[in-house]
Amino acid sequence: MFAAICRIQWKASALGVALLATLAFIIPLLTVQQAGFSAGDRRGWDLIVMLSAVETAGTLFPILAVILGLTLSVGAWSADHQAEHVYALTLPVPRWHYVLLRFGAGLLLIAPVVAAVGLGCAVALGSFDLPAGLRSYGGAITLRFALAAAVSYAATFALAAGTKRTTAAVVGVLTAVIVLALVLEAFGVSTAVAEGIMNAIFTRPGPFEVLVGPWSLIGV
Amino acid sequence: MSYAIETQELQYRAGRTFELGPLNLHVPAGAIYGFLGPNGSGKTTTIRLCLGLLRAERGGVRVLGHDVPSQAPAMFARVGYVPERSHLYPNLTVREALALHGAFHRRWDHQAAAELLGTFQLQGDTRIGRLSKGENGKLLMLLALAQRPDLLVLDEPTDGLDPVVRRDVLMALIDFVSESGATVFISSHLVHELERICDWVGVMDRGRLVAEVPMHSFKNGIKRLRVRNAPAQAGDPPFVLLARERGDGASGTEVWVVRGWQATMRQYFEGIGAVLQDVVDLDLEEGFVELLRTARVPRGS
Amino acid sequence: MLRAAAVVAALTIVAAAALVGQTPDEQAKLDRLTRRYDDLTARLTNEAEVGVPRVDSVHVGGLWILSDSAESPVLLGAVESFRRLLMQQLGPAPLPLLVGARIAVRFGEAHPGWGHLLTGDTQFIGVQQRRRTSKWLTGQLAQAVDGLLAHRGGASVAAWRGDVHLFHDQGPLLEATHLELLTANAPSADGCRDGSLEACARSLNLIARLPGQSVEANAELRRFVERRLRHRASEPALAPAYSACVDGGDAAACLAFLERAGVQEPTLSTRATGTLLVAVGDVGGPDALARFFADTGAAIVPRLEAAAGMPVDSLLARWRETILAHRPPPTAVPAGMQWFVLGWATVLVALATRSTRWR
Repeated sequence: MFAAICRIQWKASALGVALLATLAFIIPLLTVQQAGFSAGDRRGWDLIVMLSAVETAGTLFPILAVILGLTLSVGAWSADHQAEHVYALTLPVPRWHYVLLRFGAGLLLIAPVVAAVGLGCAVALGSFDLPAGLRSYGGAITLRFALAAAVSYAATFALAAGTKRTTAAVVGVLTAVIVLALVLEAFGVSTAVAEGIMNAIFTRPGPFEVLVGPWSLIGV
Repeated sequence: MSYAIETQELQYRAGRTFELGPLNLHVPAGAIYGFLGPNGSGKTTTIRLCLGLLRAERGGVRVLGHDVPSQAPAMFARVGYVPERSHLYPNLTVREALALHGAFHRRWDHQAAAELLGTFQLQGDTRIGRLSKGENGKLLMLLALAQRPDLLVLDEPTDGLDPVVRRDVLMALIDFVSESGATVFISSHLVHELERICDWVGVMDRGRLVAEVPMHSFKNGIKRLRVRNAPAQAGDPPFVLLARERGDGASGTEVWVVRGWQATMRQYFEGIGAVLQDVVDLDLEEGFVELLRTARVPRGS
Repeated sequence: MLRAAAVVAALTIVAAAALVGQTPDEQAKLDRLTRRYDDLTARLTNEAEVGVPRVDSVHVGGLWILSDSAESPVLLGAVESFRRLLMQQLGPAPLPLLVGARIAVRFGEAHPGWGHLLTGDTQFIGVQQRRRTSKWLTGQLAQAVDGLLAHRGGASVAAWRGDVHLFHDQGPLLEATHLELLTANAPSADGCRDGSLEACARSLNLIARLPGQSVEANAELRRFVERRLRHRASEPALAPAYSACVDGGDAAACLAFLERAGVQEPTLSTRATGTLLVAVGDVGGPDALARFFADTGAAIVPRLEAAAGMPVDSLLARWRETILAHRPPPTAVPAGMQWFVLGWATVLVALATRSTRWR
């Protein structure tokens, strides 16, 4: 059963996964190149500026992780949404079992992109000698990316698995909070509520803590 | 008698205008049960309730001894379902759909699936989204049959199909039933189609089950009588008088629609001083129409 | 009667000064300032120009904040936050060096009258967009004070200090300085990192010759000259100094060579200088920065020692400890993150299975 679900989910997500894996491989290479680490003559290296460029480029990783999660959850549920879930509901497995099969298949599909990140980091970091005092974080980036993709996938998967009413309610509430915060800020009113909500989501023990923080491939 | 499907006081409401039940449906095990009714009568809703795809407001459902919806997964392992509209994933090929379905059903018969693929002339590499209506219908039937179910639930399986495809589908169905003895619950508004294959019939109208009888009783039981000189008050006839209409005014002939007619009941007309001119057999469709016409009395009256 | 009036006036002035914490001289300065702006406003009004801005003033620790919308909640909120920030950073008593300084905050349309206000020791802030909040304006006021302080203490202080932001959140600045220390392509930064206070002094451009300059520091200097400036060794004006430095190991010759060549050993940025100033404020107490910026004509190191109340070695040691303690967070996955992710994924998938669609 799992193999069958994996096959159909791969079919639905293959193009997206391939594109994202390509991007995942390229980002570390471009990071190192754009920051200037691949330049042979080190005399012109201004490490602060270079590290700043690496830090900026690092923000692409969490963005890619979220896009990957979204892509996989769409791939997991799009066929069922099109068919109004009737086929899934008439299978001889408990419904929670079916949901887990879908989730597991998508989770497996994170692996190629994570591997691409790891490979890209290894190739990028292997292309030059790291100056004294700096450290590389290829392994940490790869692990962090895997975790970020997993939690993004879980969140969007759960949203897509719900009924239209539930999805609309969740999206509606989040949108309303954001809009309200923007309106209040425009009028100079304190937005402690919106800030509180953002903190709850993006700082420990919130679900998306993994997305924020340093994502630098090279640092100290 | 054991029942493949039975409902007890099943009730369901959708919006303000559609109400179904209380429904007490009994589909005998091993029967080919034709579920008739005009469009919008609640056939599909009843099927979905029986399969747990809708949640009833009140009442219970048992299918092959399994309570629905609590035991739905075990039930679906033994039930082949062909919905009114295709529920398959449009991006899969025919072959992939077979593989997926077979992965979930333990009784999947690969050989039967391959044979039916040939019989229905379906190409394995064609995407489901590109199949014609007829090909889709055949694929749905193939999946349901290759599963080797104990119960087939078919919701308008031949609706919109051309006669050739309809014939292929029905032939495959009959072949399977004759081999396996499975129960078939088939809904349709194409009455003449079911007449040939069903041995039980249930009639739905406006959310109510107005009749549930063996097919022969249904077909044979409803007659149209041409009666002359009948008195205004018919007394207490030995049959069920469904309708009485004036025919040609000058001759005093009336048309009586009756149920439960037997030949020996001619004496009744002699007793009331009327003359029974003719007994007209009705086919299933005519009987169905008459049954609906006479059953449509306002609620509460 | 006249004498009594004079006494009363003097007492009033003293009382007023006590209330605002000003000395009579400073209060007098403020009175003249207020009168000047009152006069200016009156003159502008008399000119009968359409839309003359009414300029009110808010007093914060010796500093005047002038605005055409002094009742604005945004301004009042910002001033209150800014007052707290100022007291926290510069002490409870108003700084003499801020007396007479002005920050002009304009909410309304531009008006020719504003040009008259922006004279002398004034910083300007224009609040033209509705979405500006008190928080934003507080930041602007803090930057304006940085601007006001930029030229205090004389040219040498201004040159050393550069463009520093005293009121910014120090955390990121300390981390950035840590990064600089690790990555600056300079022997002084390396030496400072390794524990040499002399190297720290050099890296912070405190070029004063500290007693006991070490052999290692001299060696670093020689290596720097030899590695980076070899191409200038053949210049007639520089050749003797180069030779004495590289071949003879004479530190003084190395310094002389650098001075004649017009080359400064790369030092840390003015951002790092700012963190040193903040350290001075931390150790020297409320008036430390006032002492540093006082118009005494002293050189940088004596100013630092006077402000911090300790030898510059001790100050540098303390500063170095602070910087090294603020290593930027590494990219490494924080402890336990994988368990939080696993936990949340489990919760989210459980929510998915509990959707009404599936029940």
